[in-house]
Amino acid sequence: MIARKCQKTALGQRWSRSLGRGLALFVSSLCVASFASAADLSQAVVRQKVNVVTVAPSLNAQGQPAAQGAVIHDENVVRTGVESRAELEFSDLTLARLGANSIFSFDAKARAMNFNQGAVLFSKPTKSGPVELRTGAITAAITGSTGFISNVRGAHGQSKKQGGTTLVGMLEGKMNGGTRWTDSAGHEHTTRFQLGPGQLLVARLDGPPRMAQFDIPRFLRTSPLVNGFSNPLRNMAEINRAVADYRADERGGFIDQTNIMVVSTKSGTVWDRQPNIPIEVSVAELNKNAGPGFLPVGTTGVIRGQLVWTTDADLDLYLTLPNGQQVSFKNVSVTFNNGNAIAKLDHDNLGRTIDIQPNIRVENIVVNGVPLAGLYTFLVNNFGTRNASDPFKLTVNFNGRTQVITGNLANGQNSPPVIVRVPGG
Amino acid sequence: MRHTFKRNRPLVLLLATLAAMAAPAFAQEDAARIETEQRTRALNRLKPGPTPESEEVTDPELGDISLVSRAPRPKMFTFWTGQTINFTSNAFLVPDNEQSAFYWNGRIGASYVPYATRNFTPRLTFEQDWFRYDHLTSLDFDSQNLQLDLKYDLTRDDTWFTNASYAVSRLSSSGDEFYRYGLANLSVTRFAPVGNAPFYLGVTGGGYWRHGDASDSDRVSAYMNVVALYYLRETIQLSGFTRPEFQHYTHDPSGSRDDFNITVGATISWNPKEYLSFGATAAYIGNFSNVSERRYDLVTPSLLFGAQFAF
Repeated sequence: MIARKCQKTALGQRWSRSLGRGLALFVSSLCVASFASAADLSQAVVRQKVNVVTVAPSLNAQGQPAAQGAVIHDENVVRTGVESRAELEFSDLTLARLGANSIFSFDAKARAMNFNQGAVLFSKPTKSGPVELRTGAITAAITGSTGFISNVRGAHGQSKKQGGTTLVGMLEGKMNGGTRWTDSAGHEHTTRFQLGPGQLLVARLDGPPRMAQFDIPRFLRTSPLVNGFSNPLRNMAEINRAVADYRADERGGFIDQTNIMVVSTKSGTVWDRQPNIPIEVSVAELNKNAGPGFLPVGTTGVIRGQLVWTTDADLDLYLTLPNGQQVSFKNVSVTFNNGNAIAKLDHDNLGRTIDIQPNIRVENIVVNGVPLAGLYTFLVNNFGTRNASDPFKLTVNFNGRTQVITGNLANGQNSPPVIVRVPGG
Repeated sequence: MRHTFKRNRPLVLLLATLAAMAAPAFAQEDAARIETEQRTRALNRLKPGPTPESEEVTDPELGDISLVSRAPRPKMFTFWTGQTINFTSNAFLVPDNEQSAFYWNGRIGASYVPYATRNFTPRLTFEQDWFRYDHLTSLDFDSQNLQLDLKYDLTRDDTWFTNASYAVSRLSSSGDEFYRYGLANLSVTRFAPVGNAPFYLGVTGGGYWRHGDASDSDRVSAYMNVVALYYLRETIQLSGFTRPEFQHYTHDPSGSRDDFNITVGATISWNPKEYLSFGATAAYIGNFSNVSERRYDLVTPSLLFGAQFAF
């Protein structure tokens, strides 16, 4: 009886949600014109700040510290420092939450917000007219919506043309835009896109953009741009609807986890996907009693890191424990946390041994027992190679979450770290 | 390739619909077309390009971005209209003394999906049709059709699926009902890209049972739809289709009647917007029967316009 009642309720909710959405579409299309002029970006107020936030009259001018409540005017440039954050609120209640090391400005006449660097979460009330967002090679328009942008400047090993990576993701609402890029022959292209809730655009200047879909609830749980501020987002009702839709899709089986993470690290290395990385030959070996994303070499553990490569180079996997001790070929086993945990390199490879045909080499580190709370940092070092560089794949798993990075390492080079945080303590 | 394939599926089904227009079972194809069209349109918003395998960004402020594969859920409500201008070389479906005619078929419809999972989609569809002939006005008629269709995906990637449906229809002329029938249909469909070119092959095999009042046209039937589709451009598709169908009439006045009906044709269509389609099609329909007066053939070119709205 209860089940039937719940089912009826769910059906009713879905009916009313769909009907409501249809009506909302119609009504909003009528309203857009009348509210278009209401998008007021003439000034913003620093609603909340954490650590260092400065304001400068222009991009090249010296910034002055901005206090909470400070008013930011048209074309001012707002910067946040290391481990700093700021929340700006415009007259039309549009919010821009800036993460650390961000640079932000706005153009009131063009009703445009410029995200020059760093991460930002934007949230715009539905009835406040369209706003243009500019970041990297992307220009996009939103009316009522919430999303995030991460604009990462080029870093080590990137040419000026490569410029960096821009991520744009939507939590609720829609975004329409275009992104410019240049192909290897020097031809310029513009790719149009539309993003809806849970959709992500990864754009670079030197290649076509790529689209993906992401786990909205997980982002909301883990993002400091969402949880690191005391004020709730004004579009929380819309975000909750997007989460409810996501959950409904999950229950209906429409969502498959890919075990692929967009990894956030403090390293200066940026996205370096190698399209022809030969590690893909081992895909058939994945999931063969080895856990998600792991090859069946070495053992499993509470925390597991596995390095895979396909050349005869000597790549080494390192794990640094929260107490500073290191596990690697130099020190293959460490007992810690008062003897309650053990970290072990249980499969070592100097590059001369093929673990899986035709050419797969593996190193595997596991942590078992009761691990100490804190950060566990995995990284890969190219100890010796005759090649210009060697492709690798590092897979790290803890508590059901798998992080994967791939890349190329030259002789002596380290990979960016993959960090696991064990809570507690 | 997967994105492209899924994006193309609605047209495969549209063409299957066109192929089936000469047959009374077109409603089943409509339901499948609408459902897959919604799915593929949602996918279409994600322009093609490989899903990133691994990325790193230098911003710890962003939070976890865990990539997922999210298939679009069928829309709960869909409304559509279709308008076709047709020519038939044999309006009365007779072996001799054929008369040609132009006619218009207008249709509006609505469908409702109360609930859906990744593999299972029930759909309730209502459609109103009008048929108007230019000079053979005695052939004018209207029809209403109500159908429940259950679609079950046999594979995760939607390349194999089955449809089971039951439809009731009433046909009327000048407001007077002259025929009503029920149609139970079961089919299995397979779509597959062929090679690396934008070329696709779709095959549907199925059978239906039709029972009506009057019962003269009651029959059981086995059929196959085969559609080959080629994309000239992203929005322009060219296709060829054929539908052989065996029909056994259960209450024919002649006592025993078996027909073999074949439709062969080609279509070009253009989708300038996701909710608009224009098309032109030409088909040959041949009917071979053990009752000599039931044999006929005809040629029927058509111009098609379609629009739909779903939420």
